[in-house]
Amino acid sequence: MRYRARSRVCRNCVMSSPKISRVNSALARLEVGIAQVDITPPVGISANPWGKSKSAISTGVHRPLTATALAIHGDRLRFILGLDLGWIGCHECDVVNFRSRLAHEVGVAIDDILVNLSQTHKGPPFCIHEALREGKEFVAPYIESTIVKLISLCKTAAAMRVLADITWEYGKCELGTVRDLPVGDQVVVGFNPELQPDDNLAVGRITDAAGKTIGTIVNYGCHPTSVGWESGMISPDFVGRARELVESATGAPMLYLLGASGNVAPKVQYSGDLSVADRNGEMLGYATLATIAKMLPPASDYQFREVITSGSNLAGWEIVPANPNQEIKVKKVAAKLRHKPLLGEEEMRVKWAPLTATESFLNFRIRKQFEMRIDYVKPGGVVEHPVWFWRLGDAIFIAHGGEAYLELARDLRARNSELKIFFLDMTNGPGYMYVPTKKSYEQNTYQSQQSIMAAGSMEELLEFMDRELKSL
Amino acid sequence: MANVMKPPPAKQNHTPFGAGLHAAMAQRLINPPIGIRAASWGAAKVHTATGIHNGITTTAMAVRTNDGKFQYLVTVDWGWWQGKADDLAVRGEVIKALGIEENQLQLHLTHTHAGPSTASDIAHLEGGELVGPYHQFAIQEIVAACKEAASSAKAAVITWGYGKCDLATNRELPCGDIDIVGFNPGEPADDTLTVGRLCDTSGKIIGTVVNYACHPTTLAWKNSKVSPDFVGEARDIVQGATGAPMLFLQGASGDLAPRDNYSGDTEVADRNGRILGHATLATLAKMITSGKRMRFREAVDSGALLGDWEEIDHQMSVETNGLRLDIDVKLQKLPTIEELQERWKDVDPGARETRIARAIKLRAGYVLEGGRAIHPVWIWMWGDAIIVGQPGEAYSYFQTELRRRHPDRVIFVLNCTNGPGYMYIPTPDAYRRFRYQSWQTLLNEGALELITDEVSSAISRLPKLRYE
Repeated sequence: MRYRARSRVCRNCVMSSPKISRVNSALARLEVGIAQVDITPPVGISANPWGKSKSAISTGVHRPLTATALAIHGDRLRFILGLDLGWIGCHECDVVNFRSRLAHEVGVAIDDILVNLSQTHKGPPFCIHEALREGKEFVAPYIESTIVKLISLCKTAAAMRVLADITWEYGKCELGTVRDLPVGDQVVVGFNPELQPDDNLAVGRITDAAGKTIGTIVNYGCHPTSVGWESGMISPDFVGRARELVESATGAPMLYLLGASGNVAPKVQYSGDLSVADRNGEMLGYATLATIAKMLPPASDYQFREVITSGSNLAGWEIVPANPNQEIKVKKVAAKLRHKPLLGEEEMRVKWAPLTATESFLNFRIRKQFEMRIDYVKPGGVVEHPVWFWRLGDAIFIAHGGEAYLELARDLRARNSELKIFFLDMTNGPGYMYVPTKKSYEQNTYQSQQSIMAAGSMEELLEFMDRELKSL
Repeated sequence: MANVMKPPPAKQNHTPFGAGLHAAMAQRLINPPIGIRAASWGAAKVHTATGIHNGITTTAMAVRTNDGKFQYLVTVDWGWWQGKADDLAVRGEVIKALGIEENQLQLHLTHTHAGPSTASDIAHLEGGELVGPYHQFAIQEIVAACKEAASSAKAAVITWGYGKCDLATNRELPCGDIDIVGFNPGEPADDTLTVGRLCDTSGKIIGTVVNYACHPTTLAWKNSKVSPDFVGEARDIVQGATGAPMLFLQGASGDLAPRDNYSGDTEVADRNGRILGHATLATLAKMITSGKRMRFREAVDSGALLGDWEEIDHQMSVETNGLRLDIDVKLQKLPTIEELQERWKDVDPGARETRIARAIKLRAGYVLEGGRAIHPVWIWMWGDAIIVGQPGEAYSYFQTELRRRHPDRVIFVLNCTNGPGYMYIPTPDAYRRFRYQSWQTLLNEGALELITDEVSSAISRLPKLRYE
C-alpha cells in the first residue's frame, strides 16, 4: 500500500504501510471449566508454622482459604489446582495419600493434575506427620475432608467446561522484593532495599462464548509471608485480598498460581497486623485488574487499517477477529541435577538435635529428609527434578516442585519473549526444595542450606527448561 | 534470639520520599453546557458537545511555602491553549482574583481532546457563544477551589513514589519515509507513574496527586460528548477507593498515547482509565504508613534467620522552594503570514483564515526578534519532590532524563502548564522523520535537550534536606 505524503516539510516523501501492521494477542481457545471451593479449616487447628510462634493454635479466620480448579479438556481431561495451603514435602502425604487418590477418583493420571500451593504461612499442615503442635488433632480430619472437597471440585470444574477463549497477558506488579539481606557475615531472609526484583505478572482471562469473564488466572512470584508469628489467624495472606478485588471486579473465580519466589517476599512482612497482608494484596489485585484492562476483547488482534487525515496524519488501527491457538501439548521431563553430599540419619541427629526444640520435631525433620529423597535422589549423585510443560494455546505453563530464585523465571521469559510463560513453583513433586542461584550458595543463604541440590543447579535447570521449552 | 547483628549501613534504612507541608486539595465540577464548541479534531463532522461522558473538573492543591505564601497547583480537564491571549483570559483572571503573583500558580490542562474549547475568540462559530460565559463560570470555580484549598490547608504528610502503568504506548508509527501519529508496537514507552499521597496527621488520605504521560486521545472525531478521556474513569476509581480528590497531571507525552485510540466509544476511554486507575491504587498500596520509614530491627530466629524490619516515625522534609526559568530557545525559520497565505491559497477560505489566525496566536507573546523565544519553566520543590511545569508538549525524553539524572528525588513533570510556548518539544528524530510534532512546533531542533539541561541544572542547585 502506498500513500501520497501530506507532509508540508517533505512533499516528495513516500508514505507506505508500517513494517509492523498487526499485533497478535496471546490467545487460546480451549474447552475449560473453573470452579472454586472454601477449604478453610476449623478454628483451633494448628496453623501457625513459624518457629518463633508461641502457640500454633489458630484463633480465628482473617479470610477464607480457597481451592480453585481449572479443568482443561484436550485429548483428555487435565487439571490445574490452586490451593491456599503452605507446603507438603512428604511423599506419603503428597503422592500416595493425596494426589494419587485425587487423580484416581477424578479418573485421570497423576501427572494430569498440577497442584500448586500458594505457600501461605498461616494455614494448617497438609501432612499428618507435620501435625506436631497444639491443634494437631484437627489436622488429619481436615486433610481428609479437604481431599474429598477437592475431588468434588475437580469433577465440578470438569462438568462446567465450555468452549472458552483465553487471553494471556503480562503485566507489572511491585509487591515482591528481594529477600536476601546480608547481616554481619550471614545472609538472612528479609527485605533488601538495594536489589531489584522481577515485576512480571502473568494473567489469563477466560471468557465464554458471550464474552463474559468466567475465570482469571494469576501467576506471580512472592512469598506469602506478610503475616508472621504474632497472629493467630488463619489467612491466605496477600492472596486473599487480591482475590477479593479481582473476583468482585470480574464476577468470576481467580486461580492464583505461585511463581518463582525463592528469594522474593513483600517489603512489609512478618507482621501481626492483618491489614499488612491486605495492603500487599491490593498491590497484586490492582495490578491484575490493570493488566486485564489492557487486554483486547476476547479472540482479537490489533491491525493497522489506514492513514487518517485529521490535521495531522493519524494511524488508524482496528480490533480484528483472531484465530485463537487451540493447541494443547503436554510433557513431563526430569532434569538431572547434581545433589550435595547427603547426610545419614545419625549425622542429622547429631547436627540438628542442639537446634531442634523437641525430640518429636527432630524425628519429623529427619523423616522429611528421607521422604524428600523418594523417587528423587538417584544413583550417581544426582536428583531427577521433574518439570511439567503444558502448552495451552499461546501460553506455556512450566511447573515444578521447587522454590526457584526469581532469576530462573525471569531469564526464561527473557529468552522466550514470543511466548507467555506461566512459571509455577511448589507444584507437584518431588523436589519441594529451594532452587537458589550459584551466588546464593556462595553466600551460604538459608535457601542454599535447605536445598539438597548442589550449587549451579539453578543455572543447569535454566538451560534444561529453555531447551525443553523450545523443543515442545 | 537476641541479636545485635546489622546489615551494612546502606541496607539498614528504607526511607520513602516525602514532605511535611501545610497543604490541602479541593475539587469542583465544571461541566460546560451542552452545545458548547468542542472541536479538537480536523476529521470531526460535529463541532459542538452533544452530551457529557464524565465530569469535567478542576482540582486545586494549595501548599504553604516557607515564606508563608501559597503555591497553587491547579489542574483543569481541558485540552490546550491556542495562544497567550486565551491562556491569560483564564489564568490571568485566576491570578487576579486570588491576589497572587504569576509564579505562585501552575495552571495545568490535562490535555483531553474531548474538552470544551479553550479559545476566547470564537463567539462567531457554532457553539462559540457559550464559551465566554462558560469560561467565566470555570474561572469562578477554579478560584473557589484554590481558596478552599488554601483556607483548609493543614499539616499534611505527603508520601511521594513511583509506580508503573502500561497504558501509554509509543505513538510514532514509521510508514515509509515519514512517521505518522499512532500506535507503534515496535518501540517501548515510558511506564513511569508518579504518585503523591496526602494524609492528614491522623493518617487519613486527603488527596492524591497522579502524574502520568499519555495523550488523552482515546476519544476522537467520532465522539461528540465532552469528556476528560481516560482521566475521568481513573479519577473515579482512585477517588472511590480513597474518598479524597485526585489531581491528575499530564506528563511529557509528546510521543505517547494509548494503544486504543481515536475512538467514538466512551467505554474505550473508561477501559484505558481502568489501567491508570488500578495502577495508581497499586502504587498507593505500595506506600508504607504515612509519616514512617522502615528500619532494620533485628535478625529473628524462626527456623530460618529472618531479617525483621519495623516502621518508625519519620520527620519528612519541610523544605519548599519555587523558581522560574526563562530559557532562551532557538526557533525554526518561520514563514511570514504572507507566505502562509500563499501556502494555503488552495484551502477553503474559512479554513485558511482559521489556520492563519491560529499561527498568529501561537506566535503572539512568544516569538522574539532574531529567531528566538523565551520558554518559561516553573520548578517547585515540595520536600523530596520536584514539580516541573512548562507550557509545551515535551517528548518523554524530558521526564525520563530528569528522573535518571536525579534519582534522589521524585520528579513530577508537567506538560501544558502556564504559558506561553504551547507547542511540541520534540526529539531530533522527530525532525528527521518529518513527524507532525516537528511541523506544529516553532522550536528548532535541540530545544528539548537545552530545556532538559537547564532544568536539570536548576534542580541540582536546589537544597536537599532529606532526613535519613
